[in-house]
Amino acid sequence: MALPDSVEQLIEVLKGKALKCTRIREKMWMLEVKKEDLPHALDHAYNNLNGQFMTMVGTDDRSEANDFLLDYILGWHEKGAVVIFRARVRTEDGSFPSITSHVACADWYEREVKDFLGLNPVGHHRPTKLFLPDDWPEGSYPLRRDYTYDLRPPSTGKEDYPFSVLDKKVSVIPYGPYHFAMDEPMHFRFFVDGERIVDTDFRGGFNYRGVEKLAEAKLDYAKIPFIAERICGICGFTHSECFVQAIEGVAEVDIPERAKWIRTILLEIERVHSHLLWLGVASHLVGFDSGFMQFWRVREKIMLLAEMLTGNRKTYGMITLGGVRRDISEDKRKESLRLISEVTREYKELIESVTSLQTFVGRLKGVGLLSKEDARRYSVVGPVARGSGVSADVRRDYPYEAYSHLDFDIPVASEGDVLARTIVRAHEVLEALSIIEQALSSIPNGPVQSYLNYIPAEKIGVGLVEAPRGTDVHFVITGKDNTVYRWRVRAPTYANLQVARIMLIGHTLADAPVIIGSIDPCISCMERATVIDVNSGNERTFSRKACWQGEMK
Amino acid sequence: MNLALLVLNLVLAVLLAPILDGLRRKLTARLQNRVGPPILQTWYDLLKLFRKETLLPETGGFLAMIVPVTTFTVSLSMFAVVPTITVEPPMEGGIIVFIHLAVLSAFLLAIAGSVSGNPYGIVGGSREVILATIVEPSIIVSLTNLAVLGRSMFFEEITENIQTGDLYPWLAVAMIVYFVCIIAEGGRIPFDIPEAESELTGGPMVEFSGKLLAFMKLGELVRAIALYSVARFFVNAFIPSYVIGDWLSFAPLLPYFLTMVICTLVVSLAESMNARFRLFEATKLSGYLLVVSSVTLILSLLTNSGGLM
Repeated sequence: MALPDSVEQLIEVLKGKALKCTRIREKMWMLEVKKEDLPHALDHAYNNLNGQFMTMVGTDDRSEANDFLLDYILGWHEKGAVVIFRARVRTEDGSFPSITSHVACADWYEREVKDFLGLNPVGHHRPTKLFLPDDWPEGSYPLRRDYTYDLRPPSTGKEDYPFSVLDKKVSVIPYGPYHFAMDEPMHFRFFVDGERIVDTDFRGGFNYRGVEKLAEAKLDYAKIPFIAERICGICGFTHSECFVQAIEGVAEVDIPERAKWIRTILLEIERVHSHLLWLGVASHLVGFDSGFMQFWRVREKIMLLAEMLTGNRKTYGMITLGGVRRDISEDKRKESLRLISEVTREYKELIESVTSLQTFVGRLKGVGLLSKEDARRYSVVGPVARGSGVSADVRRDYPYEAYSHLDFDIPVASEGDVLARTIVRAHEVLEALSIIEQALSSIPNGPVQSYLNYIPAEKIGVGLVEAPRGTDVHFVITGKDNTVYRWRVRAPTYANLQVARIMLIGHTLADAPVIIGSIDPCISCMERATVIDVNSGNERTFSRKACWQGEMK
Repeated sequence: MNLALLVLNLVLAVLLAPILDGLRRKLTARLQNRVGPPILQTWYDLLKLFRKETLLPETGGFLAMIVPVTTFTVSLSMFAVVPTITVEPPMEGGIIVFIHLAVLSAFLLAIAGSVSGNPYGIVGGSREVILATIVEPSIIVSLTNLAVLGRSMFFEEITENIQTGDLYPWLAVAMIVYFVCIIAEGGRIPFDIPEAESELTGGPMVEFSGKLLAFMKLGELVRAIALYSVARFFVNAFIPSYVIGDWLSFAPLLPYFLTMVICTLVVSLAESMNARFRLFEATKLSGYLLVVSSVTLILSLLTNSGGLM
C-alpha cells in the first residue's frame, strides 16, 4: 500500500480498529486499540505503512484504572509524525499478544515489559530475562507501583539463564561479560566452526540500575535532567536534552532562541567528541593503536572546548527545564570559533591519512554486513542505519532546537559494512564541526532561561534527539506534584544491538570486536545505569560454571 | 663450547631483552605523539610479575607449569647458538639448530594455549600454529640463502666467508624478507594475530599469571632478540666485515648493539603504521615472502656455483 500523502490521511488509514483517536499536539496522535487488535494494527502500520518502531512502554496504571498501559510509539520520518498505539491490559489478565512475528525489533521491548511488570507476551518466540539478574525471584516486578524503589528481594541462588543451544557440533566461545574489546559488560556467546561464527546469543543486563524507578519514586522534574545526563558517560547531554524536550512539549513553553542555539552547539560538540572517541576505539580494535592515539589527541581539544563552555570536560550540568544554565560570553565564543577551525584542520589531515592506510581500511571493508532490508526490518537508528542506506535523522525529520535554521548534510552510505558506518561517522564529524561553526557565528542575542510555571499531570511527552549513536527516545507520562508518572528511556544501542547477531553471522572471530564495536554499543545507556546504587546488590555476573558449560567438547 | 662465554651470553640475553622491549615501547610511543613509559618499564613489569604468586586454572594442570619454563629455556638456547658480542657462538649448532629451536618455541606457545584449557587460549594456540607454519618456511629459505652465500651452516664460518667478498645483492632481498619474518615471529602488530589483545585477550597467554606469565614473556622477548641477532649477518650485503666490526676497528660490540636498535626501530615502525592482519591476509603476505625468498635462493645457487654443494 502506498504511503498516504498527508499526516491526516495517514491517521485516517490507521484509525481502522481504533477505539479512540486523540491528537495530543501538533504531529502527535494517540490511537487506543483493543489489545487483541495490537498485532494486526502494528503489522499494518509497521510493514504496510512503513512506520519506524521507536519504543514500547509498559506502565503500571492499576492505581488509576486497574490495568496496565502498553504504549507502542511509531514514527513516520518522511512526515515528521509520531503515533502512539495504546492498549490496556486488565490486572487479572496479565498477558498481551506478542507482535514479534510482525515487528521483529519488538523482541527486547516485550521482554523488558515481562521483566519489570510481569505481563506475559503471548506468542513471543523466546521470552527469557532481558535485564533482571538470573537469580531474581519470580513474582517480584520492579516497575510495579507496589514495589518500593529500595527493595532488594532475596536471591533464588540459581543462575540458569537458558542460552540457545545449537544442534550442530560447534564450539562455544563466551565473549564477555568482561572482555578487553568491550569497555562495558555484555555477554555474547559465539557458536563457532573453526573461526567462523555460525550463530550468537546475547545476554545483557549487567549494568541495569533502575534509574527510571528512581526517577518515578524519588525525584522531581528539576532533578531528573541531572540524573538523565548521567545515564551515559558519552552522550549524557542528549539524554537530558531528550527528557527536557519531552517535558517542555507537555508544558508548551517557549524556549528563548539563544538557549536553543546553545543547546544545539552542545549537542554537536557531543557528537564530535563521541565520534572521535569511536574512531579511536575502532582503530584500537583492529590493532591500529597509532590511530587511537591520534584521534584522541584531536578529541582532547573538543574536551577543552566543552570545559570552556560548560565548566566540565563533558557537557554536563548545562541543561535545565526552560533553557540552559550558562550563557556563552563573547570571549568564549571567539575562542570556541578558533578551536573549532583548529580541530577541523587537524581532523581533515588525520582522517585523510588514516583512510588511505590499506591495512586499516582492509580490516573494515566487507565485514559486519547489514542489508537495507534488515536495517529497515529492525528499525535500526543512527550511523548503523545510515551506513546501510537508510536516510533517517531526527535532526532533519523532527527538527528540534535550532536545527531548522542551520545548513547540514546527512551522510548516507549504502554498502552496509563496518567501513560504511565508519565513513558515515567520519563525515558526520565534519558536518557537526560545520554546524557548531555556523551556530557560533550566527547565535542570536537574548536571555537563556525562561520559567515554567505549571506542568499539567497525566499528559504524554515524547522527546526525540539524534544522539551520536542514533535516535534517542524518551517517553514521559507526567504525574502530580512535579513528578513523573512513567519515564521510559530508549537509547539508540537498544535498537541497534538487536541486529548484532545478523552482522556477526558468517564472519570470523577476528572481526567480531570491530563488528560489535561498529554499533558503538553503549551499555550503560541501553540499561540506564546511574551513579546511584539502587539495585546493584542484586547484580550478578555469570558464574564460572554457566560460562563454561559445553565449551570443551 | 665455552662455558664462561655461554654464561655471559645468557646474562646478556636476560638483561637486554626487556630493555630492548622497553626501547620498542618508547619508540612506538614517540611515533604516536606520546611520552611513553621509561625504557626500563618492561623490566619493572617483569620484576613485579616474578614477585607474584603462581595461580593456575583448574583445567591447566601440570603441563601448564612446565610449558612457560620450557618456552623460556628454548628461547635461551636459541639465543646461545647465535654469536653475539664475539665472533664465536657460545654453543655449536649453527643455522639448523637455530631454525629447529625457533619452530619448537612457536609450537610450545601453541601448547601453552591448549593446556590452559581456555577457549581463547585454544583459538590463540591454533592461530600460533598456523602463523608459525606459514612464516617459518620464509625464515628457513632466507637463512639457507645466507648459508649458500656463506658456504657454511655455521655462523662463524659464514662471517669469515662473507666478510671479504663482493656485495651480495640476493642477500639484501633475503634480508628484507627476514626483517618481515622478525616482526611476524616476534608476534608484533601487524602479526600479533595469536595474541590479539582486543580479539583474544592475549591468546595462548590468557590464563597465565605471576611467575609463569613472566617466564612466558621473558621467553618471548629473548626469542625476539635471538632473531634480531641473526639479522646482522645479512648486513654484510651492504657493509663488508660488518659482523666482525673491522669497519670501525672496534670489537663486534658496536655493530651488534646497532643491529639490535635498528631491528627494534623496524618493529616499532611496523607496529605504529599498521592495523592487525587477519589470518588470511597474513597467509597471503607470507606466500609472497616465500616466493620472493625462494626465487632469491635459486638465483644465489645459480650465481654461486661453488656454494654449499
